[in-house]
This record gives sequence, structure tokens and C-alpha cells, in this order.
Amino acid sequence: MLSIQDLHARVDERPILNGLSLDVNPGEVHAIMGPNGSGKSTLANVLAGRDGYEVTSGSVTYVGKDLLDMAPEERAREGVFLAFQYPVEIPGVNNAYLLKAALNAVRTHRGEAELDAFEFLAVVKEKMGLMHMDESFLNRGVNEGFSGGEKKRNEILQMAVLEPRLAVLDETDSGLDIDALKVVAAGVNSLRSPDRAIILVTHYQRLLDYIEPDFVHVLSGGKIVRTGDKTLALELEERGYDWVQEAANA
Amino acid sequence: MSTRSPDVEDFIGKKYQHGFVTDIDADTVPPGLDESVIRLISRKKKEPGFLLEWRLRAFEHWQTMQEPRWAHVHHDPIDYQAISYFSAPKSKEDAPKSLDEVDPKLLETYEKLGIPLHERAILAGVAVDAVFDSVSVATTFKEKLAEAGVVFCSFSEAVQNHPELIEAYLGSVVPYTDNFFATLNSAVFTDGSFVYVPKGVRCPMELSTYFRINAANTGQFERTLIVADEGSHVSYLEGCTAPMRDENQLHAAVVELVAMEDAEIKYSTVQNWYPGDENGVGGIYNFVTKRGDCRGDRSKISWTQVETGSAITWKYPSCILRGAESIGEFYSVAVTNNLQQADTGTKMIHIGRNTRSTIVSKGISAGRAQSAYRGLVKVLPGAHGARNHTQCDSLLMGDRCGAHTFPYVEVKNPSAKVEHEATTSKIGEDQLFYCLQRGISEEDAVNMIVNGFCKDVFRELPMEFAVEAQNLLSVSLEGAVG
Amino acid sequence: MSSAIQKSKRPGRREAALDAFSAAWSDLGAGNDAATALRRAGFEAFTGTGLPTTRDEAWKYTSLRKLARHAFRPAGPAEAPSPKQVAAVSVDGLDAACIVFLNGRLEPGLSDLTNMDGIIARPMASYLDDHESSDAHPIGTVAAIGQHPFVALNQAFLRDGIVIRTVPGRAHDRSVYLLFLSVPGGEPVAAHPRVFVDATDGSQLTVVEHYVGFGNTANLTNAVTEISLGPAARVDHYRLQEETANTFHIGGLHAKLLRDAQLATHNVHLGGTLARLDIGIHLLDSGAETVMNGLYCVDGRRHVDNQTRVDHFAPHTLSNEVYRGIVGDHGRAVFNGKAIVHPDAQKIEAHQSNDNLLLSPEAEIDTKPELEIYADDVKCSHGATVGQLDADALFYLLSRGIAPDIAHDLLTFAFAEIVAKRMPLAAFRRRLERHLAGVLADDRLIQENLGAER
Repeated sequence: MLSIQDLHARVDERPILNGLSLDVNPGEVHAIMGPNGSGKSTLANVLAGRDGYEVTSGSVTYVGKDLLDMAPEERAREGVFLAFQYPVEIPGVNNAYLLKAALNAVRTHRGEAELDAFEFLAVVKEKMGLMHMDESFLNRGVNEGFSGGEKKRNEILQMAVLEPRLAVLDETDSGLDIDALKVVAAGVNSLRSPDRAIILVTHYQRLLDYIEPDFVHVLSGGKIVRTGDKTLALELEERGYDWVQEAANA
Repeated sequence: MSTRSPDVEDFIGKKYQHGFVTDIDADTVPPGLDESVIRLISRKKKEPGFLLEWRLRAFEHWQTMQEPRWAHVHHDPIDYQAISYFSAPKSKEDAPKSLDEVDPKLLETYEKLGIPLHERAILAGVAVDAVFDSVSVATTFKEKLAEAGVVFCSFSEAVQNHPELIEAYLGSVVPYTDNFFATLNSAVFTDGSFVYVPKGVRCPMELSTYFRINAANTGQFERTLIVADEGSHVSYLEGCTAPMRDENQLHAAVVELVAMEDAEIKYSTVQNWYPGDENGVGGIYNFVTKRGDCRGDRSKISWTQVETGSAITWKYPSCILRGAESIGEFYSVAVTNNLQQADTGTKMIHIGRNTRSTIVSKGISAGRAQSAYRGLVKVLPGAHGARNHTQCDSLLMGDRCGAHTFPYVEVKNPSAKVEHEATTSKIGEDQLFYCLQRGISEEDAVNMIVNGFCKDVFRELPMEFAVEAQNLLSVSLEGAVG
Repeated sequence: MSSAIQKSKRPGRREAALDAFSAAWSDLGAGNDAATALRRAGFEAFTGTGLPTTRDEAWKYTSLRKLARHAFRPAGPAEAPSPKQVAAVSVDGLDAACIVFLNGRLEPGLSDLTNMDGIIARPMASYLDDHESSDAHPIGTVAAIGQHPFVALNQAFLRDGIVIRTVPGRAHDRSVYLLFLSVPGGEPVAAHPRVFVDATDGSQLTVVEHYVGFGNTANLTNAVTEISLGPAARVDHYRLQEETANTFHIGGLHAKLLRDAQLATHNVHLGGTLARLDIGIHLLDSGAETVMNGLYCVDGRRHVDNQTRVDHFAPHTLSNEVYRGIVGDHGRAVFNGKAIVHPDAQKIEAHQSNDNLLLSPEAEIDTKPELEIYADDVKCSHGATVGQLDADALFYLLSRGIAPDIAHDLLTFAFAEIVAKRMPLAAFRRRLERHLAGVLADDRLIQENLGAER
């Protein structure tokens, strides 16, 4: 589904990704771990197409298409979803409106009919139950005045509604207490399916107690230095990142 | 919430759709202004003596005044002797006979703005005979108003039929000495609207609907007077989201509102006059004096405005909060694009006890436009318990525009609470990216964010216009980002 | 524009102050050509505009009619207070080189110019004498005579004051304390001291300006300070105005900041019959930052006017302003803060707040926080409030058994303390807090409150 080959990218002239390669197949859950500054969030932003992240070489193929050639909204409509590390507040724009506009943009792109207000509400209310979210969320401004946990839950709600093929969760666990983490994890798990892939970007092993990955990759110095299964995450937790970095440098 | 068609191609061009036409009309007074012109205007309109005298006093005073220079706007000097101060109603002969003759692009704009079908012909200037259906709609309204006892007519008619009301209230809020443009208007105004709502009457409809149909040709020196007697209620909408046909560059209107005890006046404006082209050539100079007097206790005056048109806008709809517990409100969205300039805001003068005022101003600047908020909140010594809250936000789109805030706060009462807050920021790249990542096009994302920014103001508009106003914003800002 | 000297000389009314300034100026002794040229330019600029009137936007809320009636004489030699008297009014606990001025003139007997931590401090008069050409020195290059009539007037009488230069790259631990004493001189006298601070590359310095009045003088202090900050220089400037209740105090504080320079101004007005300070800060290069803190307490029939203006000329510059005022009796306070973001000054931040407590029915507050923005990628905000003590907080204190007047004072103190806390120099802050506590009814609670914090 997703094939990243020898990806180099820089931010403000500073190289961050230095030859990263990764293949992701439908149904798989990949965890990308690494110390601060290793390029985790850069990878997430490059995949979503954020301005200011300049790809200098390498390729990213997504469902047979050149992902890097697509505008951010095209990527989204093709099913790439980024759950932001810091979801932005958009005062005055209510959640329901954003979500409906986004969903209908995706549906139109897929050649499906747009949902009217009633159909939309039916869909969204079902998903909200899943995320233990109160209906009043819908009428509030996008992330406006939300707590950290509410913002992250809102991200997963959007993911549930938009049903992406490839979801990239950027540090979705950061800033969550254990109860909020469980809710978010349950939401993500419910979205696991044979035709959907998920990339978890995280600093901590904690999240992986609740969302079990098929693969764990360690990112260091802008490339993947080690790949393993979930036991690698536990080993990292025990021995820290220095061990992998040293092993990589050796 | 309206859903907009996402097709960018569907947007109308950003050029103003209605060019200027120069007609030569036989019954026009030659350009220039002196006492004889004023006497002529008054005679032609068969005005009572008191009105002529009032006009002459205004003219005499005007000659001692100088054009104000303090506003944050720039324009070439206006030659007041080059303006013709009286022209008889235009003949209909040059007008299109039906919608088929109207520029299709204009019709497209109406479509885009969601203007009801039966109004489009009138707005497009189709000869009235050809749109009989719509006129009958207006007639129906008028009958309904008469039943309720509401007087709603042109200013000229009011002078003939209700001279006692005119004499009692004209100039009682904006005296003829008030300011350069208001004084000029007092001397030479030709027509406008008059509303009187009797005691205890709740006006049975938004005067908006009726007004929109009838006021497409507003004239250059318009004068509006609205009096809401004790316990009455009226909502009035001036202007129109649709581009208006107008040949006069200088507009110096005066609006006076009087609210007696327990009365409420809601005055909404949508202004979309010709802003000039992308290079700042042409466009209306909109220099307006609007003031409301909360004369009675517990009265309320609320100004809501959406300003997207005109080359230069200079207006400060104000409230004099004289009655105890009276309330003044000002909600404004001012959009400037290309080379437009706007210097707008409000004055809230707290005189009575426990008076309250709210100011919400949203300025959006794009292109090379300059937009200024200028406001005064004044609390006089007797205004115990006065409260004001001001929120004044600017959104910038493009690195060559300007946004300025000049709030004056003067407080002379120690039990008053006055709060002013203002922010200025660029349209957020993070916000845009967030929307794009959710699959929303840039054009739609900008519209969503801008409409969100203006929501507190749109909420105050009569429902039907709120939707149009949102659409108007996207038309005005077309091409501003990206 | 009509010439303003006409404006101020309305028919039928001579302005005694103007006549006295003219007479005093003609009597000025000659200096070298450079100094004479500066004085002439100042005098011409001042007479070109005359005294501003309330029709000038910058003076809309401050009338100079009272000031204009006084024929201020040039300051002559005056009897110096004893060292003991001086010590009694000084800010104590400062580790500083103390330089004392008497009606604007440097008083060597009370000053210490020896232990300066390498800082060069030269009396203005001899500094000017040593520079034959005005190209050779920077006096008058930071404070512009065109926009400020009183800067022009100060320059017309340019002679007294001090020039200070830091050692490049050095963080001076020792501060410079400039104590300006206004003493009775028979008739009302005018002092026009000029301070120039040259903060060289990478140096750091704290300057404290302190204006104190003695006796019952109705003098005019017209002080101008220029600060030039080189790359990465840092200056903390404190200004405490405690003139007598009859003194007219007009001040100008003007600064230019180069790349990565930082200037913090802490401006406190506690005295004067009419006090006015114009602060003008130019952020000329990226990374330049300024913090402006201000506090004014206005009682009696006093009038205090603070005008601040920050010009963001370069990208990535920052300004942050917090001004608070407490106004009672027949006092009147004016605040006008202006942030101007010039074209292409992208990615800047400008924040400003002005909060006022209005405590009496005869008092008045006029505040005008302005933004003028010609760039788009900016974060600007401003806010102004006028109000009273928070009723809920007051009630909470009462419900805990605290007497109403003490609760009132405690909250008033807390209101001022928000700004005082932003002033890092402990000796200065203590002085301020003591003053605040002193004018309040029962300062014990406040002292305890402060004590608990330290």
C-alpha cells in the first residue's frame, strides 16, 4: 500500500530524514519509535504534505501512485489521514461543519453520494459513542477550548468518520492520562481492518500496550536503524534508545 | 449553516460585475452649490418653510467647515462644485426590458448570492412595468404595515404627510452642525426613508425585505429617520448583498434613530457598492453619519453591518445611551481587498445609569487594502454602573495590506467597567493545512475560516441575509489567498 | 499646516513660558559650533511648533495651559541638600555608581564617578566641548526633535546631563544610578537634562533614573534620555518619578535597538502636578526585543500621561507592554500605547495591555491602545480595561473577617504588584512596594503578605 524508498527530507535547510525506507501493507500496524529529534514527526508531516518539509530525494508510492506529487487535500481524499500531534484550534468553525465538509469531500472523490445532514448525524453519532464523546462536541468550535485529551479523541473521531486507508497517528498518546489513552486506543483498535494500514509514531512504549503493532521500527538520525516485532518496543523501554543508536553506529 | 458548492471554477470573476453608465438626463440641475440650488431643491420637493430654513442654516454652517483629515484614508480632493445636487427620477427608457437583456454575469452573481428570483429583476434595474409580480409583493407588505399603524415611506412623502414628526425629530440626533459630510447632507439631501413605529407596536415584519426591493436606487445624499415610540420594536435592513448600480462617486448619507422608553431598533446594513477596480480606479466614497439615540429608559439600539464594497468607507454608527439601562450594540464585519480603504467603528456614549454597550468588530484586509477600526467608548460622570465590552479582531491575508486599531476609552465614573480587547493575526497556515489534510479545498478552507472569524457578527443579521452575507464574503475575497 | 507658534499664541494671551524660554535661550553662553548648531536646530523646531495644544492628537487629553502660564527661569546654582538628605530620598540597597543632578546640573560633590566598573561616564557639557563636530558624537540621533516639541526644547538648552558608554561584551554588575533633584530656586526654574546611553555590542547595563523634588517647588523638569543599543546589547532602564505635587515633569525616553538587542523599560510615576513621559522605541533589526512596564498612581489633582510607541521595523522583533494605573481623588490618567508594524516586518509579536483602577467619582481615565499594522504574518494583541476592585474578591476577604479598608488596600496593592513583579531589580521593587504600602491605610498585612513571599 505504502512504499517509502530512500527518503531524504529537510526543514529550513536542515536535513532531517536521511534515507528512510519503509513498506506498509494493508491490514498492518507499524509503530515508529525514536528519541526526540530523530525525525518521527517530520515523517508524518512529509506523508501528509505539509509546507516547509522539503523532500530532496527518494520516493513515496501510495496505492501505486506518487504520493509526493499530490496536494495535501488530494492525499486526504485518497485516504491518507494524519492525526496531529498538536491539533489546531479553529475558533468559530464548528466540529460538525468541518467533519461534514471533510466527509463529503472524501465521498465525492470516491464517487459516492454526499450525505445530507440527517445521514451525516447518524454516522457521526454512532462513532461518537465509540469515542465516549458527548454530543455537545459537535457544536463547539474545532478544538476550541478542548483539553489535550479531548483534542486527541476528536482526532480519532475524525479518523473513524473519514475511514482512511492509511492512518498516521503522530504522538497521539502524548499528554494523555491512562483513561484517555485507553479510550483512544480502543478507538484505534476498532478501526483496524484487513484493508487499512496504521502507522503509530510514538516516543513511548506505553501506547503499544494497548495497540499491538505488527512491526516496530526504530528511527534514528533520520532513518530506520532497526526493525522488529513488539518485543523490540519492550526492549527499548528497558534499555533506552542509546543502545539501538550505538548498535547502529557500530 | 449553508453548504457551498465546492467547485472553484464556479466562482464568479473577482471583477465587479456592473460597469458604470453615464446617462444624461434633461431634468438635472447644473453642477455647483449655492443658496439658489438649495432653494430649488426645496421648491421642487414642495417642502414646508421650516425645512428650507433648516437646509439654509446647514449650508451657511457648511461653508465655514473644512473636510476632516483625521481618518486613516487617502483620496484626491473632492470638488463639491462639480457635483450636481438635484436630478429628477430617471426615466425607464434606457433600462433593460427583461432579465434576458441583463448582463448574464450579473445574474450569475445573484445566483451565487442566493437572491430570491422575484427580486433579481428589480435589482438588475429592469424597468418596473416588466416586473409587475415583484411590485405586487411590495404592495402587500405595505398594506400589512399600514394595518399595524407603522409609517414607512420615502422621506419626501413623510415631509408632505407627517411634517410634525419630521419637524420634531429631524436633526435631533445628528444636528446640522455635526460634521462636514452630515452638514452637507442636511443642506442638500434629496430623499431617503422614514419609519415611525407607534407606541407598543411590534413591527410585523423585517423592514428589510420590503426595503431591499424599493431602495435599489438610493441616491447620493440620502437621509433616513427612524423613530420607535415607547415599547415598540422594529428591525430594518439597509442595502443589499447584490452589487448596486450607482453613478455617484460621493455618498454622504445620514441616518438618525430615536428609541423611546422600552423601544428597540435593530438596524442592519449590507453594503456592497462598487469598490473600484484592482488598480483602485473608480469606486464609491461612502462617507456616512449614523447615530442612534437611546432616549428612553431600557431602550436598545443595535447596529449590525457587513461592509464589503466602496473604494473608501468612513462611518461610525454610534449610540447615545441617554436612558437608564439602555443598551447599545455594534457588530461589524468590514472586508477590504485590492486598494479599498475602510475607516470604520463606533461611538458608545454612556450617559444614563446602568447603560450597557457591546462592540464586536471584525476586519479582514487582503490585497493592498487598508482597514482601520476607530472607536470611542465614553462614560460620563452620571453613568453609574455603565458596562462596555469591546472585541476587535483583524485578519490579514497577504503581506501588502494593513490593519489598524484606534480605540479611545474615556471614563469618568468609578463604577464603570470598560474592557477592550483586540487581536491581529494572519489567516493561520496551521488552520489551512488542517483543513486541507481533511480533504477540503483551499478556497473552501479559507471561506470556512473567514466565516468562522465573522460568526459573532453574522449571528446578528436577519436569517436570510446571514446566508447571503457569508456568500458575499467569499465573493469579495475571491483570489485573495493562494 | 499652519505654523504652530501662531496656534499657541492665541490673540490676547501671551504664554509666559514661551517668552521665558526665548529670553533664556538668547542668554545661553556660546559653545563650539557643533553644540551651537544642535541648540539652534532644537530652538527652531520648538518655536516652529510652540507648545502643543489639545488639538494635537498626541496631546488630546493633556492640556499645557497651566504650564504655559509659568515663566520658568534657567536653573542657576542652588543650595545642595546635605548628603544625609540625599541618602534619605535615594533608592537604597542599589549596587550602583551614583550621579546626582541639581535642577538638571551635575553636582560633583554628591556624585561618585570613580568606581564605574569600566563604564565611561562623561558630563554632557565637557563631552560637547570635546567634540567640535556633531558628526563625531551621537547626541540627538536617537531622540527626534521633529515629533516631540519637548525634545526640541531640551535640545535647545543642551548642556547638562551625562554620556555613558559601556565596555563592549561586558555584563556590568554595577548599575548606574542617576538621581535628579529638583530644589527650590526662588522662582520656578526649568531643567533640561540630557542622558545618552551608548550600550555597546554585547554589553549589559542597568540604569536607574530617579526624579525627586524637594520643598514646594513648581519647577519644570524636561528630561530626555537617549539609548543606543548595539548588537546583542541589553539595557534595563528604570525610571522613578517622585517630583513634588507642584512640579511639571515632562520626559522623553527614546531608544534604537540593533540586532538581538534587548531593552526593558520600567516606568513609575508617583509624583508631579503634571507628569508626562513619551517613550519611543525603534526595533531596527531582527531579534530586537523590548519589554515595557509601567505603573502610575494618581491622586490629588494630579495628571499623569504616558505615551508609548514601538516601531517594529524588522522581522522577528518583539514588544511586550504592561501598564497599570491606580487613579483616585481628582486625578486624571492618560495612556496611549502605539505599536506600529512596518511593511515587511514579518513574524513579529507585539502585545500590549493597560489596566486601570478608577477609585473616585471625580477621577478620570483616558486610554487608547493603538495598533497600526502593515505586514501580515504578525501576532498582535492589545487590551485595555477600566474598572474597580473585583467585588467577588473583596467579598471573599470580608467573609474571612478582614476589615473593608484593609481588604480594599490589599487588592489595590495586588493590582499594582502585577507590574511591580515584572521589575527584576530587587532594590527598585522594594522601594516601590514600600511606597505603595505607605500610602495605604494599614500596610502591615501587605508587609506580611510580601514577607511570606520572600
